[in-house]
Amino acid sequence: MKFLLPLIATIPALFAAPLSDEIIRNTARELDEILIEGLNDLNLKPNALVDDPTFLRRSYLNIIGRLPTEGEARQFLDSKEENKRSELIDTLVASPGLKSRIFNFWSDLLRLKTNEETAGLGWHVWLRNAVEDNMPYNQMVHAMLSAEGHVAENPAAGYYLRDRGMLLDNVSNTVQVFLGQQIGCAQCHDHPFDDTTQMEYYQLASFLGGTDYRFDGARDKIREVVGASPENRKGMRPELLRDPKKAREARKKMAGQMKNKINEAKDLATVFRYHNRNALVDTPNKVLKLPEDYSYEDGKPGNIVDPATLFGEKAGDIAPENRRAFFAKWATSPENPYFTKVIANRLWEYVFGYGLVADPDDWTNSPDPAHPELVTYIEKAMVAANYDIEQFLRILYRTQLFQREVSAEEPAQGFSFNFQGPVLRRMNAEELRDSFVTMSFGNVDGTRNYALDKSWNEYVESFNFVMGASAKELREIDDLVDESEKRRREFQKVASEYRAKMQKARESGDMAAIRKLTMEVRELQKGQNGKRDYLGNDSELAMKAQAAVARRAPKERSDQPEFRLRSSELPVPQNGGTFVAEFGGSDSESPSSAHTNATVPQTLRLLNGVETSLLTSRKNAIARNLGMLLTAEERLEFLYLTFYSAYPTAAEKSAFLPEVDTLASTQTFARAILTSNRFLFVQ
Amino acid sequence: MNPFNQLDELSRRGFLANTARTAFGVTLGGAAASWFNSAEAAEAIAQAQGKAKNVIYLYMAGGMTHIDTFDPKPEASAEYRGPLKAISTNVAGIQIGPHLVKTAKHADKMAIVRSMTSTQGAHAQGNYHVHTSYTQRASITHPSLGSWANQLDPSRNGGTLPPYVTVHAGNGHPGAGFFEPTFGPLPVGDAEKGLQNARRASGVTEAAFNRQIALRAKLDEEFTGRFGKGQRSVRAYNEMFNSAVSLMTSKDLEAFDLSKEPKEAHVLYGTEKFSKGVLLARRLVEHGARFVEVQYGGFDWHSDNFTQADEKLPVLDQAYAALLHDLEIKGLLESTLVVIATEFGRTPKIDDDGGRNHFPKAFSFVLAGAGVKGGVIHGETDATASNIVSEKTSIPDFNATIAAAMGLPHDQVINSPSKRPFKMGGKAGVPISTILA
Repeated sequence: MKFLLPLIATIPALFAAPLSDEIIRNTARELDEILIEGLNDLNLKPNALVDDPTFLRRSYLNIIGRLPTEGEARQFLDSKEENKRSELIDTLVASPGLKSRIFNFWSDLLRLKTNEETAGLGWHVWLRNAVEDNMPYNQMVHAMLSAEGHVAENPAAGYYLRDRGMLLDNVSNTVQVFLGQQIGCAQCHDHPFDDTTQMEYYQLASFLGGTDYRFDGARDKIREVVGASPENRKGMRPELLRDPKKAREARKKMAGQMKNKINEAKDLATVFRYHNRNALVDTPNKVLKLPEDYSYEDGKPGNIVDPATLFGEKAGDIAPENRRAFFAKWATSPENPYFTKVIANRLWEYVFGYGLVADPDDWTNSPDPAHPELVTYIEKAMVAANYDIEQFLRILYRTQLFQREVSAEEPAQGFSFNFQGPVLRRMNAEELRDSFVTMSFGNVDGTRNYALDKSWNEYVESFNFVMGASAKELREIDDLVDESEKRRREFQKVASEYRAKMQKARESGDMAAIRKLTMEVRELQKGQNGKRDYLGNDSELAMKAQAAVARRAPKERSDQPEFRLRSSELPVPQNGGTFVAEFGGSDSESPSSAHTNATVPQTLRLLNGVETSLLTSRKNAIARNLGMLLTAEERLEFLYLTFYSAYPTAAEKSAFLPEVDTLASTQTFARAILTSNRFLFVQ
Repeated sequence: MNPFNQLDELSRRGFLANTARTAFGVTLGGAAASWFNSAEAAEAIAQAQGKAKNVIYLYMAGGMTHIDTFDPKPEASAEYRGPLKAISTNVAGIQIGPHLVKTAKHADKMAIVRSMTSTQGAHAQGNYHVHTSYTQRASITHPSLGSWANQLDPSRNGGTLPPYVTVHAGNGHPGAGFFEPTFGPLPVGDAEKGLQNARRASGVTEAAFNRQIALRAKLDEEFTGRFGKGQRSVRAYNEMFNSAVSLMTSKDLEAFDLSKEPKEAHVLYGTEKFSKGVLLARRLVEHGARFVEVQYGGFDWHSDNFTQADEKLPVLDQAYAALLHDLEIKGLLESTLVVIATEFGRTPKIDDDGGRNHFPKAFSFVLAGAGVKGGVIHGETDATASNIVSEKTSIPDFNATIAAAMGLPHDQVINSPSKRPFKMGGKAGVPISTILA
């Protein structure tokens, strides 16, 4: 088997612009050649190339995550251009829809939780911007793995803060997501079927063993204002005085002053009480120790563990303050034996529906890939493309493989797939939802939900204001916080009194009392929730400070209703009961938790749910357009283009034209399309 | 043992083997003689006689602390037990955690297994192991307990209600595993909303609806012809479609509707999402569902263990006690087994953040109701709930016990499509015969 060095390896190492068409074309061709040779060795033939409608539908869904509109479908199908396929790919790759689909991919893989403390929001906005700017993958991961400080200063720290207090879990996930290794089991014992031992696990975790979840900026700020920090008990030493009596008095006086200062520092600390949840810091003298029940001979419970890598570059002697930095560099280095090929394989799966290495999360236990040369090749291509995700994807989309028919057989679990063609798959939850959104309101790919950015910016501005406040201002802010805290406690007291009364009323079955109490509680809550301003004060100072001292960043309303936005613009994860959750969207509990498994509630939703009003309610473009079409032929064509991205064939016309004769029968026919597998699946 | 029961048992097994072979495309491995791996286990199953016609499986996602709930150590030092002591129950000698006040009145129905142990200390892996009896592998997805139940005894399939329902389950649920998709659970995302969209949209006549169903088949004719055989996911959508349509005409649809429950029932179970899930489970079982799992998330208390215990445990306590009470007065406890499970326990020693971390070495599960003895403790941990002192019980053992209580052959082999042999009780699970009734 010959091996080709990716052509793009010869281009300059740094670039900002997309790769030239020639480089893309040649690299894609080399990739196809390696694949064909591999298939030859297996005595297999590649599948035939797909027809235009299949290519069109697949391209829209796999590249920008939604179906083409009727107009977009016509435009492509009617075009006589010779290069229309590669042109469509390049157009879609350069369009905002691509970013939407990639963002969903990251938020599922990284278990993004927008509403987890303030850090979640900051991380979400940061990640969305990283996708918008097409930040190179290695830089993006490095920024997250090396992040420390307050999330307002460095939102990438949200990656670690997602797992605040669960450092070992975070380490397991980090290694799985970025390095394709399952080492979670070694957290408690030697890995039963991998080589990783519990000691190795702790050695790796030890790189992050200095992590403390606290915000030193608060302590510094308080010290700056009052000259003492809340935990500081050792005061300044009074200057040495010869007279012992005078010295004693001086010390006493000084101690008294110090005590006052410490008390004030403690008082001021309430301003920053939520900040420790949103920051992390490396403490050089904090170390990771072996667990209480460590039972192997190479260490004793409580032993300090020195950091060591699992593979690749050895750690050597690292100063404690550099542990995390070394870890981030080691994990994201092109020299790391897994970092590059793991993401290359994940993106292969993203495009073709299945990994070259069958389980992208578990390289050690995956069967040997059917095309090992391809694994090596895409790794090199990723390095040569400088970890530019969009351009790497563009190469994969431009292959012949992307244009081949899907295989009739699904990949068998536990075996490598041979890629005679891509894999048939159901539209994922976001693709399905976003296709409905587009059918109703047209192309909204470029509409961003700035509400999240706005909330976040408001928080950061307020944070900066508090951190830059004068001593006088900080004391005033503190008073406001104390007052607001007092009000909150009073409210809770009243609320708990109400709960007790309510319980009594329930037990005695006094319905009138229950009704009265329910109303009163509702009023009470309204009063409390109605105060958007946490500090309950409209002075300029309060307005500027309140976002930073509240538990959560202020929630801004979007100027677009949710149902007019792509899924990528909504907070994640979507709750149980939402469309996305029902169709298997990520729950952000474990990496890549999204699935496309069939359930009865999904089918019921497509049969009877609100989505069917797409076809009947005049508020929606589909129903409106259908109503305006005069002939059965036009209606059939419209429905076929909208849902199947194809013109009906002659046979389909003769079979289905009678079905779209009246408005009522057309709706019945359209409902049938909505539940058809040809619609739900991506060929 | 009643010879007639034995006869029934034998013919039932023969029936199972047959249906499984013909209808479900699976092969039963091994000879009938090897169905029971020990005389003891055979005896245990004989005892249980399939009393548990239904199972309500309550899963505490995140890893529920054992030392603060079902294995309290009031004599341990504060660095282990924290501020919590223990309370007495209605069974002399059995104590449980102080939050479980209402549960304490039902200890006479419960068999507490305090000697659970596993090697799976990460959430996804632990969750998988508890649900399937196997450890997670890249090469296969094993079926979950509810799917096993309906595979081993398909008599409840094809009824008017789905035999297996999950409520508030996360995406990590293994579902049907390698069994055909019909053996998977029907997931309810929000108990309070129940099963939505189960009625024909207004304005759609029955005739139009039937036409729609016929048209779907016609539209998909080519697609199904091409992919129906080789693609399980395509078959799955066709099967779900048929199930959904027949469910729409089910007379038992209102089993999913919590608004049909009297106000007192809502008050009894509680106001939280989990409470509603448990109430729904009771309703479903009452209407004929066989295996209902309700999940309660958020037990991963790495910090502030005791604040979180104050928040969550009373919710569990109220709903669980309400369920046992309710099943009893409705006469359903004789035929319903109630399980409390979780992925692992928590480190008995409290850490610097006032939290407890993952601890698969020793933890507690609880069985109550049909097929098990009440008022018993199985197994014991040491003075700090850190090591098992007696009756080590593995997850496969525990799951084999559920199988036994249901009258199912826990060690009957079913081969996966890749021709590998698997059993409901895992590789070597043995039912805990001493707690079966």
